[in-house]
Amino acid sequence: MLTLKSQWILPFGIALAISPGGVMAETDGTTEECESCAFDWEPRGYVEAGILWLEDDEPEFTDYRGFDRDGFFLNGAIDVIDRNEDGAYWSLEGRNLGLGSRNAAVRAGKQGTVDYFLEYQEWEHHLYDSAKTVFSGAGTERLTLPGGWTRGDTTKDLTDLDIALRNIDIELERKTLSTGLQFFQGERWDYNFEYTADERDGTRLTGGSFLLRSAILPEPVDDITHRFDLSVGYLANLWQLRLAYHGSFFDNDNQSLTWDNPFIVPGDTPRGRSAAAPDNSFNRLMLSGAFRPTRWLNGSGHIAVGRLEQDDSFIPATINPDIGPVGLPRQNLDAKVNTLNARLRLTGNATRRLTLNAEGFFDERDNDTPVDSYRQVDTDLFVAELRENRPYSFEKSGGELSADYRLTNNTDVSTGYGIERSEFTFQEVDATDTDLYFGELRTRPGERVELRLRLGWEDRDIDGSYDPLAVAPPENPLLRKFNLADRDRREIRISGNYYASEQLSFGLNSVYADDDYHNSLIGLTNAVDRMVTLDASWSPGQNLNAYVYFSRQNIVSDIAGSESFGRPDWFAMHDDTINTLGGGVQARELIPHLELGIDLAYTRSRGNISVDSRASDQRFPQLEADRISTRIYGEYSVSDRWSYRLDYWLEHYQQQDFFNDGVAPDTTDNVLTAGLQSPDYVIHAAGISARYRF
Amino acid sequence: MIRTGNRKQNDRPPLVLAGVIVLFGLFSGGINVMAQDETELSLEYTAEGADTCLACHDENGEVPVMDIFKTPHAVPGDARTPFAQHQCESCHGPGAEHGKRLRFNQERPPIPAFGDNALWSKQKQNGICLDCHQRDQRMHWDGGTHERQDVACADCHQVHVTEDPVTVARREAEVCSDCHRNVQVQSHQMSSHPMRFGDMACSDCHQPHGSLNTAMLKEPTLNDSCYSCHADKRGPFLWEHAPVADDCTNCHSPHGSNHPALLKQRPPLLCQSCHSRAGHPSIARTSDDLPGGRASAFLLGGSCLNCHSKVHGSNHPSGANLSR
Repeated sequence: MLTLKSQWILPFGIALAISPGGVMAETDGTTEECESCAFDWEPRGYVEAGILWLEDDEPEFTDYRGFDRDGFFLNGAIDVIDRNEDGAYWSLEGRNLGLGSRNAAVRAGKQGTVDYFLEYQEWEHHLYDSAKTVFSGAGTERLTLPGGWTRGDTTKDLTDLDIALRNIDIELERKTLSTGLQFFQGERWDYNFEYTADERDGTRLTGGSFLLRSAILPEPVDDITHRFDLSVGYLANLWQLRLAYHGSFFDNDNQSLTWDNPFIVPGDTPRGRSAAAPDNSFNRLMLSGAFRPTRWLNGSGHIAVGRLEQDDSFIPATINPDIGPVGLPRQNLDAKVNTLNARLRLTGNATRRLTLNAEGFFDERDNDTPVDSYRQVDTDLFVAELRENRPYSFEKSGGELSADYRLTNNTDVSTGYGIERSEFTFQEVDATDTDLYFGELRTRPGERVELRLRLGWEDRDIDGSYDPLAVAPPENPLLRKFNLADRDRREIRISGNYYASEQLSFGLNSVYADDDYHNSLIGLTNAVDRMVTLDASWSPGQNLNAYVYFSRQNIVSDIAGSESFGRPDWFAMHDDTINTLGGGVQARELIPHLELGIDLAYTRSRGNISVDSRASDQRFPQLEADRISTRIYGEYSVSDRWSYRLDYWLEHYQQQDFFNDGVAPDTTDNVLTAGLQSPDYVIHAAGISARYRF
Repeated sequence: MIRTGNRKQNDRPPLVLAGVIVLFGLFSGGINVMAQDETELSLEYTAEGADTCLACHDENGEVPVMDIFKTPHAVPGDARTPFAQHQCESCHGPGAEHGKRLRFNQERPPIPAFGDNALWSKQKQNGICLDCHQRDQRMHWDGGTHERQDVACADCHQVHVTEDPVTVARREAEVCSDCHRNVQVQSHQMSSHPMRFGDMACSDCHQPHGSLNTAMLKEPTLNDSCYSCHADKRGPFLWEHAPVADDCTNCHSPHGSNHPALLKQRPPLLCQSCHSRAGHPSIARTSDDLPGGRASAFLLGGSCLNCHSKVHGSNHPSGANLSR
């Protein structure tokens, strides 16, 4: 055993002997006296209180901002920290305490010994306030039609519709409580524990269908996810390890949604029922580590083993009383998915100029869910065929070798080659193989200029044949699903900075990505994403900062289809262009004791969809979204302790969306829609507050 | 398991290995590094420590520094912090040469680290931070994207302020957007995560200090990142929609989109990118399907989702076509 050890001690000893140690190792641990050091061991921070005013409660504006109505709001904030010279500390933070989206946190501990936190956060996600429904019971698992509802064949035949329709707010609230403890044992060991409870409550829209009739429904959301993270880490001089457990437990209070059928449909049924997202759990153990035996070689990696389970009880195959009970092969899915994720990266400085990198990965989703045949009852109306579930598994593995070479002190080049193999179950292909290459140039041709150019090639090929899955009616054999199809990807990235002076700089960031699905006759055949961003910043001193940016993104997708179940006979193009212009200024002490700030962003989105079919060559109305957001604030300090702040927001938003605009609940014959309308508003909001610093 | 009992011991391989490592070290920069370090060893610390520095660098200087005394770095009682050691010079390096009295017209020598024309390389300056901050999330810094792109700790972090903006969730995106403006602007698009309100930070999903995962994500897979907040989409479902379990970005653009729910395209075209079964999925939806024409539910409202609403998967025994 001694002999074995000496085999390694000798070479590593020599290698380590010529390897310089860490920089901080040069320090000798002596503490020097300091008369000028203004250590601050008193509690400090601020409390702030004020009033906010909102002109109108448009959901597009109030979304995430925490305004649940228009009018006046009392608001407050607090930020206090107390630290002593031993490193013991506590802090208290609170933000937007009077609004629906708010957060507060308490932290305490002793630096390098123990840290504790407790944090609470609320978000209000406002989706729609113009939604219309005829159903009562929104927010519950049972939606009912008004008494005496007259059912009809189409929406035009729903004679009670106008009387029954009412507005409903579609919004979600998320409350997150998290707490954690971290403590250190000596200089080597550390232990972490964190728990988070993430609760959601509210409604969202979903479709509930009966054959070719459907109604848009307010679906209740009432769930909680408990997350646990525990880890222990060990830090040595040349390596470190961390063992971590992650547990996530999703618990849905809703099992299903049942709604009355507003239509008369063949087969008929008085109501339908859909399943809610099932409770599930995910447990994962991860070992990660890094080592750096010399300055010229380092590596890190992780391996994670996880298990995803779901055994929520099935609801019946139908609630149509005319069909009666339909046998199920099991009472719950007893789903089990094992996951394995591994990554390893080695980096070595072969010479002072050349760095070599090697990376490898392995991702597995091994779905052990039992396969059974389930008798289908189509939309609670007809007993249909038996269908076997297809528990999806995949295995993805690959690696990359790359090299960074310093051509000159100002120029670096990189190149690399990677491979990836993906294997699937229950898919049209068994496996795909991907080769990827890249080249990159980073240069600073002068002190004021930085440039970066990156070219990427990626070729993905199906290994074997593309065999459509057996379904009825059948899939067009010429279709290639884009996530499985042969694909050539070309990517160019150019970025750079020009520093006109120490105060003024300009930036460029551009991306061109072209995905060519060259063997896809039906489906997505090509996708191109072009984006260029220009920005400038000016900072003549600590008291003045200004920035401006412009961005243009264009995304074009080509899709081909076949109505004749043969060769492609229609071609569609989806073309989105988004321009964004923004800027801002922050100035302090231009006027004594006054800080001023302004931020402006204008986003102009245009979406064009055209379909060239045998019957016509048509362009849809343009999808439009224009948003101008302005925020102006000023804070005036009347003393070292007191300041007053004024905030003002102005937002103009206008959207045109032909998918919803002009679509009343009864516009389409067979879908009772929610009558959503695109927002179009100009909103002002303002706030005044006083801040006391201590 | 390594079994050595039957293996014939041979001293030659370790000697060869030792030779290779020594030669590798010598010719790959070891000599230069040693030479460089000898130069650095000649640098001396000031006699008065921070008192010397603060004689020139105070709150009224080009870079105000006094707020560092309100931060965790300036806690003499914590033996790991700079102010329990060589104070300013713990991070900035020995400053005797920089702080000495100058002759007439003599240019002041630069401070070794974190200053104008700093003597030490960016990598070495990063090493100063990493010497203390190397646990956990910084484990994968070496060889990571930011490290390979020569990003310095000081490019993102400020230590002489009471509140380092990049460590405050609502201000973090301001810092990241200095380089990733193209991502930040997407938060202004029609549909986005709540980035522009500061309720969500880049580091909620990404690990800027280095990660082995795709796009420097914190979680081992992209989907695990999404499931952190959207555990209801995790399943596993009886009827799976395979592209969902495969990769959420097959359909969604996480940084922002011109379409609802961060979708890459609008249905029905998004769905028809992968589905062309005989019957209604294969039919081209044209402007004839607008309200002035057929007013088709295959196009309007939620399009395919009007009926196939369980696109992330269904656990209903009769939900094979994702409508229950």
